[in-house]
Amino acid sequence: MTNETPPFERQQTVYKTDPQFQLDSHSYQTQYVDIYFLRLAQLKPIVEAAGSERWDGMEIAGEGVRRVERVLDVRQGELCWVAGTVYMEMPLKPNVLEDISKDHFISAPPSRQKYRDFQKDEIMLEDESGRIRLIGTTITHETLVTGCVIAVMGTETASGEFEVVDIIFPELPPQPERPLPSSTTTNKRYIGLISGLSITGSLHESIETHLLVEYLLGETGGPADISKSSSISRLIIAGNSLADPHLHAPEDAVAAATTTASAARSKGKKYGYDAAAYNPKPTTTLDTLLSDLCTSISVTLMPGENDPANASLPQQKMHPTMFPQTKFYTGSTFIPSTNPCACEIDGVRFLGTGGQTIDDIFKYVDGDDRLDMMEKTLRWRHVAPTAPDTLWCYPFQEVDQFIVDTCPHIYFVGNQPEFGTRLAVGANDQVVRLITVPKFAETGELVLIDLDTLEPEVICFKSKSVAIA
Amino acid sequence: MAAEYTSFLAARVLNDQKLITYRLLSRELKIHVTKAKEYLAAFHESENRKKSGSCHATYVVTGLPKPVVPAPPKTDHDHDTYMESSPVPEPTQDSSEETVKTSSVILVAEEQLEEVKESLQEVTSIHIYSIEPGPLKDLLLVADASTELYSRFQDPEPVEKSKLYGTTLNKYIKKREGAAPPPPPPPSTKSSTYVVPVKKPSTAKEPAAAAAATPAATQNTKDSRKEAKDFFSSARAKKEETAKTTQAADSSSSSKAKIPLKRGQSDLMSSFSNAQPKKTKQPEKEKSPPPPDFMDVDDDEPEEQEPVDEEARAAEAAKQEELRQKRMKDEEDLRKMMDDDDEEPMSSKPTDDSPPNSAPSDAAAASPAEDSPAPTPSASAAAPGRRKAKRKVTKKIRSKDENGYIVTREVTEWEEFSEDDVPAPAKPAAKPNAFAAMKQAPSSQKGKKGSGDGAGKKVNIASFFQKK
Repeated sequence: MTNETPPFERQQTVYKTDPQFQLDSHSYQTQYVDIYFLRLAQLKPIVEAAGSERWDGMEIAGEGVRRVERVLDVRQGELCWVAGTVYMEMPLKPNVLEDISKDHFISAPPSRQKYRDFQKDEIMLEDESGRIRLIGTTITHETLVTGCVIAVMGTETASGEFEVVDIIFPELPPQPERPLPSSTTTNKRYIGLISGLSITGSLHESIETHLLVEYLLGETGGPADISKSSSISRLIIAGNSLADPHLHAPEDAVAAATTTASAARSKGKKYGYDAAAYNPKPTTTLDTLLSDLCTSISVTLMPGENDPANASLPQQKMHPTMFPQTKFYTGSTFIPSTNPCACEIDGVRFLGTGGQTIDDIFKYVDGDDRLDMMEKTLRWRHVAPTAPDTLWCYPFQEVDQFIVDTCPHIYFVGNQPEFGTRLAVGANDQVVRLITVPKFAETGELVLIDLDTLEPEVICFKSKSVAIA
Repeated sequence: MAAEYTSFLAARVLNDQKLITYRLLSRELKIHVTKAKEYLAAFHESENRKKSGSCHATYVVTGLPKPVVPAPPKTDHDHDTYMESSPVPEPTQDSSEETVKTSSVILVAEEQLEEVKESLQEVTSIHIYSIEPGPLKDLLLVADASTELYSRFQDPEPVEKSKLYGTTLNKYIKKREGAAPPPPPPPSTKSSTYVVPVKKPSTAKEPAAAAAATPAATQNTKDSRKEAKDFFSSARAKKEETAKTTQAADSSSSSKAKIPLKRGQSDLMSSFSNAQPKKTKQPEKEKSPPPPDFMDVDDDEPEEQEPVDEEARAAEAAKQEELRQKRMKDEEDLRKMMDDDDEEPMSSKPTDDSPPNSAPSDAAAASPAEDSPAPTPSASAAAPGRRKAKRKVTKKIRSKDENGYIVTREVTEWEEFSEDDVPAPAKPAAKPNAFAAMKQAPSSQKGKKGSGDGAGKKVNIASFFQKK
């Protein structure tokens, strides 16, 4: 009877972590200004090369286009092109200096959904020499955010603004060759993407989460389902595995915590573990689920906005100590990862974030086509251009780690409102599969990617209960 | 086997009215999940044949949903401007062309099974998920079974797990070796630390206590035990009370009272744990107070308290204390010498004062009034006030320095301080006694106070270390 159903075997893939987003030191002593210099230093040659290729020798209305080294060297009425970093002057954008000057030392009001205001926004181009305001329909209709490096061609108007005629982005970085699916591997190889499990640790954890675990373990479903789930080689959890503690903590628990906390305060300050102020349940539940999963499938765990990791990007690996059961699988099937995360699975390059980057860009631009924003970040060659302006990040000193040197084959962003996908195509035959991974807690969707075709699939976990009147 | 599972299921579902999932059943009976599903289905069928509605089931249906009209691609952007300027091939695909293959895994109660089946274009599989005594209001309840599963069953090794339950096998998993996660550290280290400091004073006095135990003393001990947490405040208060009562009694009785108090403390101590390491220390402590500067005493005590738990440390501390005491005495002797030599003309007062300070054990009995100011600050200060007492002492010292080499002025300052401290009117008489007690002299009341102070100080220090 034991051999009635021979166990399915997990499809194996080779996983290589790219340490691109790992921080070696954690010094926050330095200034953030260096990031912009670093970024410009790294990206300017790329834009300038593209610019000279396109604009050198070009004549518009009999006037040759001249290259200008620095923003301040732009002469009025002269047709020229120059490269620099975009800065969006947006009155609606939170501004630390403004808060301080107004003595607003209270906590900031909830951030706006959008910073965009066409009437008042100004687009600037800056480099180490200075700034110039960009105008013209070309630039105002372009999707731009603070921090992306571009080259613009045009003339300075009488009022000292730069009328933009043409724009150049760094465009997609070179993409390594993807190993073609060998004919010998008949089995499909899938990678599962998921985000926003939002585990609360409450008594009734979402049944969909359990269904997901059982499905991935190959216990749910018929032979066909199990065969498919066994071909899912890895699961990547793209952030927010735990629910936002502020949203989901039951109010009475919070009240109890505050009263006990105040009582504790009256007794004197407590250090270390305080059971009254810390709810270990979500982590424990996540640990249990992960340790179950790790007996069968490799799990890459990225931190997200709500997860217990450093808040500033790049978020570093969640410490294994937080997962007392799962930690025994580190080095094997449990792979804590950074956010953003770069890795290579069987030669297919993955790049993914927990969603903060796109959520922040979303505030700068019109519309809500998040796939378009994702594509833009690739064309800017920068995962998180809005850091450090409106996105918390680490003050890099040596190199801007968010610059995308190698074009991924799969670019996913977690914790997005809905599933979405499309291909982004670069000038040099780069093809990138863009995927927005929805929040599992809201949609119950698991995204599968076929490593051979890069085609995504969706498995939706639902429960339908009888409505008993 | 069949009998086993039916009886198990009957017991659980029908008798205990509990829900069970195939997964839980497979863990309970250590059978393959497929087998568990079959058992559940068989049980569900047989039970409902006996009595329809006696048993309710939920199912998992997997399949392809009927194609939903894909949401229109969101292209709010007019890319015209971009297009005209860039030679890059238009990267945006028409996403509407791309239909993503979607499949569903649906958990459904039996009432809606057909409905769900109809909603699917193609049903890949249906199997029973759980059975429960009655219809479920909310499928969330099913999740409880999973929680139960995780809490009750330790996962076997991955390979075994796949053999036993049919989990997809992953041969390449290496589980690190290591002990199971240690239980969370016990939250209450406080009690032990608090207790330990208390022990010191009590243990030191124990030998004396053995002589006589008055009823009052036993009461005290009980009280102190009860209020071990608040030991500081309560213990002190009690001590004071006891001290007052003892004051009324004869000196001999007072000494007895003293002893019982100590006993009570010792009982507390012993009940908690190691009393012995402190014993050695305490006599030293008691000795230590004699040096005129209470500052020094205070300083010494904290150091002693660190080692509290470990006997070795305690022994070391004791040694150190002895050394310090010796040093102190030497220094004081030196000072006396100096004072005497330099300021002989002035010396009449200083000499009087200095003897009590330098050789308190001898002088305590002789000059209680003079000594009183110093002990009072410490005693009256209670837990919060100790430091103040220290400050006052230090001021005295400084006054000496400021005044330079004139000893007489020092003396006057001493007196002033004593006046300030004395304001608690009732105690002055007792204070001299306390000093004597410190020195192990017979007078009981003050000795108690002194010990209480010492304990209090110790406790504070101990708590400080606990925080760390």
